[in-house]
Amino acid sequence: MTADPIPIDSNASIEDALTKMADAQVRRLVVMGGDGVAGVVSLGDLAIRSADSAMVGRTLAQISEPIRQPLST
Amino acid sequence: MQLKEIVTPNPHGIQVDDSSRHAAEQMRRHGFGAVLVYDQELLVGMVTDRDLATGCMAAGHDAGGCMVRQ
Repeated sequence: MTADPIPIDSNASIEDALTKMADAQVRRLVVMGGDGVAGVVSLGDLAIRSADSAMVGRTLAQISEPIRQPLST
Repeated sequence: MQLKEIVTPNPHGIQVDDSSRHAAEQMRRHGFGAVLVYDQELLVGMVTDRDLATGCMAAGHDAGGCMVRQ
């Protein structure tokens, strides 16, 4: 299980979500609405709907960068 | 376009004490690659198809025999 998934507001834009995914290096965000959890949005969902395919590509590249701290073994 | 227009509704999720098999069943039933994990009503995490492979099977466990909290 991935603990503490990253939340984002349901009123945020696709571009906001792509930026948040890139910064956090995650492919899915938990979308929060007025009554709590509204659902999940994935990088794939955004790739289908985004008009900016170059930004989607940059986001995927940044997510795929090696993480800065080595995984514990 | 706002996220509320494209979000994949997934309000139910699974409980932290459920098995990895239950998580996989929910993914197949709903066609998702991830399900949300709750401790009672509190959202505590997310489990993905990748988590099942790398966190359960790669650790030598039976694919359905892990607990979601792992």
